[in-house]
Amino acid sequence: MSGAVAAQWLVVGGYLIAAVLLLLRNRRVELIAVSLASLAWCLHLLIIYRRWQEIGQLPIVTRYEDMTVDALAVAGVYLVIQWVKPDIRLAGRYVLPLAAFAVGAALWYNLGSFPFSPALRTNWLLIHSQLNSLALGFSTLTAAVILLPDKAVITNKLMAWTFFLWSAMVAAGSYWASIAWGRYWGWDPIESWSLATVMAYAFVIHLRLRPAWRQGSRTLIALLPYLMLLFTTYGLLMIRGSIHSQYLFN
Amino acid sequence: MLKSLWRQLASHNLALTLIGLLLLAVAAGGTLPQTNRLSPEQLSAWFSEWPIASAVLDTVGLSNVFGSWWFLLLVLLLLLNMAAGISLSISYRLAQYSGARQPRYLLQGEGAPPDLALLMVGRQKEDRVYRRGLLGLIGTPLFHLGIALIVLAALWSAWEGYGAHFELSQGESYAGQTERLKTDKGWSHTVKFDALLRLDSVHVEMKDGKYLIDLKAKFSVQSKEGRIRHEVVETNKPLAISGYRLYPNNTMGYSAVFDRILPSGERRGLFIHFQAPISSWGKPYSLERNLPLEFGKIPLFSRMTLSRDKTERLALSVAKAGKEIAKGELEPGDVLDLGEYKLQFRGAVPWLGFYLASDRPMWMFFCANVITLLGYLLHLLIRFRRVEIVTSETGWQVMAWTMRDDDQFDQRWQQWSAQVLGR
Repeated sequence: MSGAVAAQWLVVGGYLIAAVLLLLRNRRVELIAVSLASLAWCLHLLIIYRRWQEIGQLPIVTRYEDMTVDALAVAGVYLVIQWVKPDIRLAGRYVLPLAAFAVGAALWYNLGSFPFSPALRTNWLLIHSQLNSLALGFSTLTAAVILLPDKAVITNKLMAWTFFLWSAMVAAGSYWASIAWGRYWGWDPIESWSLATVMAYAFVIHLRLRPAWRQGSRTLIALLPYLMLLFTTYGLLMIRGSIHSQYLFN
Repeated sequence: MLKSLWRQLASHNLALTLIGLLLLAVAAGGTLPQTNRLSPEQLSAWFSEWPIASAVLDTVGLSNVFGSWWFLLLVLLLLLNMAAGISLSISYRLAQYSGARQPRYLLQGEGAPPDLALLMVGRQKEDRVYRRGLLGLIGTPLFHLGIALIVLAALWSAWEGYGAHFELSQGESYAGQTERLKTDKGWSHTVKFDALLRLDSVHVEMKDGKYLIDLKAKFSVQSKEGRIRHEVVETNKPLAISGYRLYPNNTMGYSAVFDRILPSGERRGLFIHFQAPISSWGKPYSLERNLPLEFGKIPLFSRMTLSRDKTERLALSVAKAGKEIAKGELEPGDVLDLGEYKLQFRGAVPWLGFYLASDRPMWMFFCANVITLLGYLLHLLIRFRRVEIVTSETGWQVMAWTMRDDDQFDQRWQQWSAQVLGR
């Protein structure tokens, strides 16, 4: 097992132990859990930095790299926001195992790298992909907070930020497409599902303006856009061909 | 009557219904095979392998969602809903600003007026009136305006925008032969692409024999005044020319280059393009193509195999009215007599595929995107709040006007009012 793979399993362990500690309902233990998760996150960041150095290009193109970076954003967004809003700390019970799963599952993919095609050699790759990862981080935290009781206010805020980041990601991708391909929109499956996800968030945000949809089991409808976002990011390319798969995740 | 219709159009229920329907339509269009996006081969496979599913999708209008009348109708209804919503939202916000509407919050009591510090309403603008977050008032209308502009720009672009594929070989010129452009969108577009350009050289770089890492096309472009300038086109760096933009579209291959030698002795160049997968670039190849070779109203049908090992070779068979009239295996310099004229094979050169686009509404689309995101950012970061305190000899009244999703103020108001009532 290479050093990077071992370190990646350490990150998985760190996130999982932190999640288990968060189940113990003890404030001091919660702080230990968050500290442990933060340490694991620093190691996670280091793994990505080393990869960047090693391959000499942004590590966000293969499925392995994509999932590892997305997991970093998921854990990072949680760690920052729980620091600002400690009352959502328990969301780590759901967020950290998901981040651990993504880091572990990434290792099942090919760990090799391939050189960037000309279309990827632009700053828009960084902007587009990082907005995607951040949106994934916010959406995962939103989904976790929905499962906590009495968190309607923060849920709305997080969902609004997810909507903003995902929409900005779509807009940035569209601009990039206009420079690379001469058209800003082509109803490609990925583009269509990205828009459908934007609309799903818009639908739920409008729905939650009605108090009846902010509590009880009805609130679970807010998980729908999250599931669509996950499908757009990870599932769609498994069942449909897309112009985007010519460049990514080989 | 009109006012009531306008209110119905602006209704939240209609917005939810339309967003929900569009969401389902877009998800369906992104998942189900769309006939307008399939190549002829994929289309025939779809109809032959899935005869029932393809017929059902066609009948219910899901085989071309984004080009269907009902999708356009939903989009137009959403546009109307947003226009009506924006107009009502602006009047609502003006009323919030001036306090002309019923306040969202009201608390009254006797004695000395309470301290408003907990409400943190900001600077006092007028006597007893506190306002903050004026920019927050325009956030949501700006966001909805941006969305409406995006939709309008997309509709305008669908009508006016133009896109076409075309191929050019190394050493070949384009001089306004619009018949060479394979139109992709924009049938109503009438401005002719009349640039004069020549593809001087093609640079393709592969790594490990399978990864394309560099693709550049060098052009000579002649202006109407006769000046020649040299330009390089590459991915993410299109060439702006005669009101159009030229992009490499990542198709490439090799061209068999011929001279057609007419009975008069006149020579005319001919390039026949053979598509090659990117991964085969720079390796020995053998590419086939069957195509009509119409010249001087004489329809001929040809079968060609262009191959290269050490040198280029062309196996060529030409038929007229189903009867073979010429056949040969040519090396550069060889001539084949087709009866009406002769073909001299001169060798092979690379060709590249380009996408030619002219989309004036594109600037509006991206400006609208910026407006949308800016509006939403204002909505997220800045909340308009207006608090007014009225005192009299007998008591006081505190009123607050906020946006309906201002949960933070709602929480503060609950805490503050509990504190005031419990003092």
